[in-house]
Amino acid sequence: MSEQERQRELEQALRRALRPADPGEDFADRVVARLDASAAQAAPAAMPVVRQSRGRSAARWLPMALAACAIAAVGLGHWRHEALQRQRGLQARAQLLQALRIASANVNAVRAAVIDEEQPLP
Amino acid sequence: MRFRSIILLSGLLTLTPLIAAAQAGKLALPDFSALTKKASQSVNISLDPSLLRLAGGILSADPNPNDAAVKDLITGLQGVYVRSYTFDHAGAYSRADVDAVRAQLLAPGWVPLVSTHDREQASDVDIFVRRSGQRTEGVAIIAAEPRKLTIVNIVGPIDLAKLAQLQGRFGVPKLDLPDLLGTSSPAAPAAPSATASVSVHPAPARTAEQAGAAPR
Repeated sequence: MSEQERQRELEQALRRALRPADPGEDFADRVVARLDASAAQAAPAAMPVVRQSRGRSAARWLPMALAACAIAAVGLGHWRHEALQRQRGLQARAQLLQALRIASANVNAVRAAVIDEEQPLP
Repeated sequence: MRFRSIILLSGLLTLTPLIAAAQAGKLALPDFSALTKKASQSVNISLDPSLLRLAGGILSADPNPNDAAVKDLITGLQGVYVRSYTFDHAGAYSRADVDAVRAQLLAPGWVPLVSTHDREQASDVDIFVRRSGQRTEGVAIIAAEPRKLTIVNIVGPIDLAKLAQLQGRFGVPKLDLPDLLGTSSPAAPAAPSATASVSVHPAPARTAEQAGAAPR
């Protein structure tokens, strides 16, 4: 067999294999049906991945959020305690000054009386 | 278990006299609620050690020199108690109300320092000091007027000289009076009065720190 004959045979074999074929009228319907079927198979597998990712994120942030809340609560409590203590201190200071004012006035009244007694009338 | 009980008991036995000593100058002030109802004005102040510490903390934080003087005065105090009642009419309180306090001042340790009686004003002011050795443990002031009754009890080492020096501060009118009760104010003549009677008892010896803080 010559070289030319072999090429011709190959060419004919290719033409036979690659000859145009009619896909049929329901080709588009079949493609859509296959796509739906593959989507339905893929969907249940994808959902847990999303859920797991969200769950993992919450597990990471929840302790941090709780710790932040706890620190904020402790800080707020401390601040409130300090404010109350300061309020009580200011109240105690005012009462102390009033008490000392009364005591001092009485001591000085006695001092004045003592001076009066010690100085004879002219 | 037994060892722990012994330690607890010995701890209690050690602390009890200390606590008692700290509170020795404290008077059991009666419940004057009946007087409070009758009074047109009343002052009821009870400052225990914790409240005094709080007040001291506020005073320390304040740069005001008056506050510094008060802080110095209250150092070591265990309590400040004041009951003061002003009435619209004379005779609103009875002698028995005051006698309940006076009876406590007859106890050993309490020494009358000064008693004044003003016949014209019908007022009496008595100052008592609680002493333990060289230490002042408390002061009691009873000022009885027809329309006013004041009882002051300061528990702890109070310096009357410094207390009197507070005059002119916090709204107390300043009087230029000589040093008769252990104060160091300059002497100035005062108008004599024939209606007042005064009995000055020998003043108890002043503590070293008081003498150093307010020299005569």
